[in-house]
Amino acid sequence: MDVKIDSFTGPLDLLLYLVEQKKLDVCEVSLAEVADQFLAIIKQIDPQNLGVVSSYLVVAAKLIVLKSRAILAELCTNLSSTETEKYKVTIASLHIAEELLQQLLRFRAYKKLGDILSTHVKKRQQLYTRKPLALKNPDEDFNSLTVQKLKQILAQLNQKDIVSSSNLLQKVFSNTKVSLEEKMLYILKMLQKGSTILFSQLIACNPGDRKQIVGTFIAMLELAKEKKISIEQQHLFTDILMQEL
Amino acid sequence: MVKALLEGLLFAAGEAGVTKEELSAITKEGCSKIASLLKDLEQDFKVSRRGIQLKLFHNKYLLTTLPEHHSYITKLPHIRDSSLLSRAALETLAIIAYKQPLSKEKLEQLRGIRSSRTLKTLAEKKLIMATDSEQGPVYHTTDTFLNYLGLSSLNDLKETALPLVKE
Repeated sequence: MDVKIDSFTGPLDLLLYLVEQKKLDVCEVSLAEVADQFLAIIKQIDPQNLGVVSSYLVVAAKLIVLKSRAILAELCTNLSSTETEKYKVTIASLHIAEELLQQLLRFRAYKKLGDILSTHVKKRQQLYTRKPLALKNPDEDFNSLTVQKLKQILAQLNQKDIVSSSNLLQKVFSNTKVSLEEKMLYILKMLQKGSTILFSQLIACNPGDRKQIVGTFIAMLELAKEKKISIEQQHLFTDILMQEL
Repeated sequence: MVKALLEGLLFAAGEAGVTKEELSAITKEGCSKIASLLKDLEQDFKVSRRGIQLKLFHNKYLLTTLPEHHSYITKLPHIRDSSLLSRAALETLAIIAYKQPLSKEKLEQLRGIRSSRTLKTLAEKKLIMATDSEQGPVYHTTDTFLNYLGLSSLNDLKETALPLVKE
């Protein structure tokens, strides 16, 4: 019999297959009957894969117990009554058999339930729907959010000094004027030093001052419109790279 | 006309679907009125032999194609046949569906094999989710699970399967 171990979901699946192949009922005797086959097939498992090997071995051990018990029972028929009594005690203590049997019966029920689920799924997959029109899916992004990432974002915020509350209060009352021409000249001047510059570098000298930041941003857009510089942003909310044209 | 509005809303909602209550809140019509209009709409689709039908999955209404059109739809160049779950995943899903909330240990005991990877796959597909309990994390099925199986509630499943699991 050519049986591939990979096609089974676990030891119980294999055991059930072997019993059903022989057209046997799930009972102690039939389990003992397939023990040899079970042992032969599980030799295919990669010994490196400890988790899988051990779960198959647990079942294999129980099958060996069952098989010994079947052999003992056969022997008992040829023994004197006192000896039979002695063996019967041994046999009775092997409640492992009932355990495995129950486990297998339960597994068979759940396997059938899996088949029912599968028919539901197949029926459902014949019906097509469309993706929702709006792309609002808040829980999608939160899944990828880790503590590490939050920490990183907070560090960036602190660097930009936007969250510093003492600064914030000051800004509310300040009334400085920002000249667009001045800002544009400033950007061009900074660009002459190196051929490219990041937006974050431009605002580094006045962190937290929103008016200055907004002014610089508008000046940058204005320069781009006049085709004096090119601007590039890799992703949403990341730094902007400017280059003189 | 509210019925036309409902049709538009259902079209926009797509596979996410929309509940009776949500429709009621948007249209400012009572839930019972919405229910009867939806029944009307469902009949309209049937009577005029349209290629779209109204379905109710996990308490949400959604528009779907007809099952008999399945083989044609898969011939569209950009439509791919949805993938099926592996046998191990189906087995695990079945156990969780009937025994939820269920711990990983109990699951592994029932399956007789380690199940971390299968659980991870199912969680990634959002078919199951873990919540905390006094005994550590336990697994449940999700609304996505009901939509995936085309069921309106878990009870649908329990009824068909009760004779199978006697415990």
